[in-house]
Amino acid sequence: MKSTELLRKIKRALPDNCDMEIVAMAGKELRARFTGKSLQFQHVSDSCSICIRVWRNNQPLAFTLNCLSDLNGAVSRASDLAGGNDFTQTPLAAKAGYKKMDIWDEETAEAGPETLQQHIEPLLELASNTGTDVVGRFSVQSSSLAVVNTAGASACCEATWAGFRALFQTRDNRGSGLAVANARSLADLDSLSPALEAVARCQASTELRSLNPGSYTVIFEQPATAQLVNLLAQGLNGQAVTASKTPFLRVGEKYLGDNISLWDDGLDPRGMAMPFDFQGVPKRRINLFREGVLQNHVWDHVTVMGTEMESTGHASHPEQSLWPHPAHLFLEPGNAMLDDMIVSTKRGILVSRLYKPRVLDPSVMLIDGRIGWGALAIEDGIIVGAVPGAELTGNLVDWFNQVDMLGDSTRVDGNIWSATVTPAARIDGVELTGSES
Amino acid sequence: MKQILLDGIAGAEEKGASYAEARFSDVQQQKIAKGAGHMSHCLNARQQGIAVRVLVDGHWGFAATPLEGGKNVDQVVQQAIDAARHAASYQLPPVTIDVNPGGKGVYVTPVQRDPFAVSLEEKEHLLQEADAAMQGESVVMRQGWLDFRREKKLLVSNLGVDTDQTLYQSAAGFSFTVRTERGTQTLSWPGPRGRWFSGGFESVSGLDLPAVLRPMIGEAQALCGVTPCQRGIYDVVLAGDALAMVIRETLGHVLEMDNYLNLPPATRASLRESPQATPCVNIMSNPAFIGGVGTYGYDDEGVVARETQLMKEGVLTGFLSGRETAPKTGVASNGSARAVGWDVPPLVRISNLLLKPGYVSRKDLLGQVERGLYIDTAESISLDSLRSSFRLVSERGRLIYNGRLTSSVPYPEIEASSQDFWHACTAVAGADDWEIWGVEDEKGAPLQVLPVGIGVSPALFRRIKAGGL
Repeated sequence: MKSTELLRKIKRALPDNCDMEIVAMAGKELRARFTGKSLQFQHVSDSCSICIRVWRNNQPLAFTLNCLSDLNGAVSRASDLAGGNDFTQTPLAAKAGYKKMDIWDEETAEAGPETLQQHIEPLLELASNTGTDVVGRFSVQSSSLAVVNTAGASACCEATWAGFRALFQTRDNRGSGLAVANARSLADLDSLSPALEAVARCQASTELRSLNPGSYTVIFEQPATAQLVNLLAQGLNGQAVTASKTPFLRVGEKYLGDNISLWDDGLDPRGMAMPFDFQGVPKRRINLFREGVLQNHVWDHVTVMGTEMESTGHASHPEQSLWPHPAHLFLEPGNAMLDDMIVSTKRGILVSRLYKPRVLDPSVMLIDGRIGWGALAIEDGIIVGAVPGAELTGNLVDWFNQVDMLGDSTRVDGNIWSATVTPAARIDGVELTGSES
Repeated sequence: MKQILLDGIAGAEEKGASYAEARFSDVQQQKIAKGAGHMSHCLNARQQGIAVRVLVDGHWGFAATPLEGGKNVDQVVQQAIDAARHAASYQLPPVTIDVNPGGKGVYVTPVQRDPFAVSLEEKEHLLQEADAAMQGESVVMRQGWLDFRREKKLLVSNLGVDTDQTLYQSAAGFSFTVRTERGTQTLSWPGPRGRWFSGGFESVSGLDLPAVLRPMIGEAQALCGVTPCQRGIYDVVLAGDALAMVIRETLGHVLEMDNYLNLPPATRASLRESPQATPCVNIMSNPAFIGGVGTYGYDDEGVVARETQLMKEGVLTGFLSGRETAPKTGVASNGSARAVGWDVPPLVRISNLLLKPGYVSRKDLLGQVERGLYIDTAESISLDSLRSSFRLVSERGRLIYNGRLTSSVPYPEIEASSQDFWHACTAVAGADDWEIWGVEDEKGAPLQVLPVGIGVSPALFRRIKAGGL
């Protein structure tokens, strides 16, 4: 369904007796799951997700459904429950113009199994030729997004997305490498380069090196840096500031190293650009850290209530999160090549991606995460073997003060409506708290 | 609806499917949260749709569509058939499935009060009561939430399956943070991620929340500034939510046959041939267990829910399986394939995983410990990608000296290799202390989240690396 048609349908359903916003998405997805021995295609067609949000006693009340034919009934139920509000300011965005963006690719939207097959076959051949096992998934999505509210906001757009994720493993299970790539179109998706890198990780893993707990220099490749940046971003939303659940409370204060500049830009086509947030507020570039100094937090129309702040256009989808989120992050690259980072590391670990990293204490940004999927030990500038599962623990603020090298190229990690674009980062003094023998 | 599904499988057979299943799913969920110092919210979600899965020439095809959407079931069947034919063009080995006839019947979770028939006001009142009990001078954050889920599903297949199920689950969780000049402490009840129950509104309305929550404020205040327990080797007694979490992560997922089959041959052989735990560890899977949050009548391939022994005296004796995975080890499916929602195919999932109670009382179990640590909630658990080691952090623990629980300590953690941990289990408490926990579990991509039941009695683990965060 075209986004204009979706917009028209949800606009017609808006009531005139309460404050309401409606976010609707409609689209389709083709997934493929594959191993060297099996392949399965999954079609999900005409999927639809509608989220209606009203306020009751100043608190949000959301209804989600996946049938447009139920929309009027759901709007009526939501309207009946709304009320009792004494807002000093509305939680709704006002009507605003937004940039039209070219984030749709017809070929990607119409891709069938035979098109995906052309992308998957080289991955299976690579695994077969290198004696590795591969388990992966490939997905193409197309989606229309429309946002309306009773205060006049009205916005719509259409986007496509293609992405894959494949885990290559040596047959003795010692070495592994995870390949991830995504793009707005299948034509722009380079699945082979990350797959070759993942296989190279496998091949460098013939020796196992169990590491003693202690302090290490860790080189986080782009996907791992993206994970760290996303954890850091949890401390930048207005709700975390209001609740003092972040160390980043004061704009203008220097929190991170001089070489750390981070911004959010929903309009930058290098990320998964989108023209407006999930309340219909136009996207724009917001600097978050400039040379380590905090520049801005991110807000939506709900979290600014009771503050003197304004929405920065970072409302999350109301079904997925209550809080605003910087969903189009860019970490400024440096000038180091990955090989230079490795060669100049005396005692370190090369980490492709962390397994389930988490914030243990948001007020100080204490985090931990397990390394795996292609982590390699480095001694005197040489990769000496694979590191079995091990745990990294530390204060993310300290880590981003200890970045001594940043990669000269970036990679995008994301999904259809969000992305994090980061270089590799080398961080000194990262604590390894446990390792398998 | 059933006729639409039957037409779907008839159409799939006509188009060459050797196996065809059609499923209608209607999931309703309501989440209500109330807090102080942060925003409250209420989310009411409903998702309905149809899924068709076929095997053509030994290859899977899957297609799904919402209940409306302009596509009739024939088109969905055609998409699934086309997907299977494309997969077949790869010349990969054909899939063999367990073709034992499936179940026929109706299953409904016993409920006293359908949570979707209870007013929002009544649910808000329950949260209000709990919120009032969590108020105190040093309380800087408090939150409570309720979560209700009802899934209606119809399944038919050309193996004679014809099932109609309505499953209810309800959950609640409460937590607060106190901040004093000595420090900060968060405590949660029943656990940091709440607790899921099989049943309706009565599952959560019967909890005496004020009586439970009010004394916890003093406990949290007393914990502020307390020195965390020293890092070292401890005898650890794990109970409740903490033990449930460790069982789910280190044993449950390993015993899902799809995960097991993805392991290298040498690892699989080691799992099969050598004991994975001490003889006091016995684990059953029972999706038919009365009162388990993972209880159902039939899985999403129409196999009747039945009990399976997974570990006997520390030795693996079985796996959780579905129609596709079971034949790979020469057994019949034990009905563990489930799909969460209309737009995904079934995966092998934990239903109710039950640690068999031992023969000692909790008191006698603690009596075996000279210097140790007691932990009964899990704030979080992290694992490596192969689940071979883990680290569990709790909000609070109790030190054990000479067989008795003594002072509380904030944020204890334990770390172990999964295999060493289960080989360190020397006793499991008896049936009087056994309870079934309901915790949420995630698997697959797209992520499928559903509550599972884990039955536990407190258990003793010797010489475990532990300490304070």
